[in-house]
Amino acid sequence: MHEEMRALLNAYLDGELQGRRLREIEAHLVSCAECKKELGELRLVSQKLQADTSVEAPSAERFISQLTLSLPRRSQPNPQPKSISPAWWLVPAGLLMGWVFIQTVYTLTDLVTAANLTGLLGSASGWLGSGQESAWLGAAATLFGGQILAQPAISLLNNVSVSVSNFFIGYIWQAVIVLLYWAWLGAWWLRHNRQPKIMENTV
Amino acid sequence: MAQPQTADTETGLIEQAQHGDRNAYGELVRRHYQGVVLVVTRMCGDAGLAEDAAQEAFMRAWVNLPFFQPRGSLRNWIYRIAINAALDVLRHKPEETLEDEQAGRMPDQGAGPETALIEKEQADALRQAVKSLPEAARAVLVLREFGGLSYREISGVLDVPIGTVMSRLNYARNRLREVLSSEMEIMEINHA
Ligand SMILES: [Zn+2]
Repeated sequence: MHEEMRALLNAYLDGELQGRRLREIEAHLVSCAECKKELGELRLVSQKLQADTSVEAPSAERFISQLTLSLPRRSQPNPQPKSISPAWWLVPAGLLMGWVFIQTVYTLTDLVTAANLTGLLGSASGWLGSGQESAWLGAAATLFGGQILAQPAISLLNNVSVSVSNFFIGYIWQAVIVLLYWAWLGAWWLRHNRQPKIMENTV
Repeated sequence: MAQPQTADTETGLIEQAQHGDRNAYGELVRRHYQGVVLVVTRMCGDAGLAEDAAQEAFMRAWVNLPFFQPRGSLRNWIYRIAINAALDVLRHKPEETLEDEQAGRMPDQGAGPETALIEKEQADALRQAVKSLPEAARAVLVLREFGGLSYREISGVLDVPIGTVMSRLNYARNRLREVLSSEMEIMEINHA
């Protein structure tokens, strides 16, 4: 009991004990002269330490004027990383636009092919082959795997194989865009999470 | 001291300083300067090192202020930085300061009345004893005696359980108690 109470003398002195513990030590101090003496000595140590507040230090004003001159510029004035450049946000926007563009080219290619096959376009197919306006569509369709079937005479089998290759090339492009988008999301997440934690650890 | 009002304006100053207002930060430094200086001085046991530590502490506090959570206590947050700054300064202290420390221990010439001399000798002996404590125990003692922190606050500042705070404080105060007792014995013998 004595050793147990002795270990609590400082906590008692600092007013950190409550309830049962406090009552126990108060009761023990009444009966134990050794603990009572030790408590007195500990109190004296604490009083003498706290009484000695003299320090050789520059005045607050002098210290502050020196300090404010040497404070470094803060690169990150806000806890929220709001300072991310607009170019950063252009990446997902660009990817989205690329996606829409490919989808549009595909839909158009399919429509034109379907129209061609059913002969709806008929003599107007010349418009596709020679017209200046169609040059961009033809180039884009080739680039992205879309092949416009200008000859309705081509066999159904040939037709199917072209459609299948269109389908795959198209999917590869879409997959590339999805992967790039994921990479961007990953990079954004890392940026967002890491910054404040690194700073906290340096404190 | 008008506590509630102080707390209000301190929150405002913190916010301004977080957004880069150096004058607001200067005011915050003014409020915590005495406490930090006392803590780092007792931690370092040397005025020169303590000044470096205080400078370093307030510099780090400025850099990291944007990450301070206003719900916490700024004083405790700064004390945490100050203790770490003092330990870093001590680790990098040049060898020459040892001689300065010895010079600082020389008894004063032209001392006043005898009781004042005894008081001063006791205070010096205690300072010296604080300085010779292991860092971990010294940090707890300094935060308790000079920072006025509760055990819970010390536990938060130093990232140790309250039980560890208690055992380190027991160790530190008991060492100082022995030093003070032997100082008193020496004086009694001298006066006998
Ligand atoms: Zn006892």
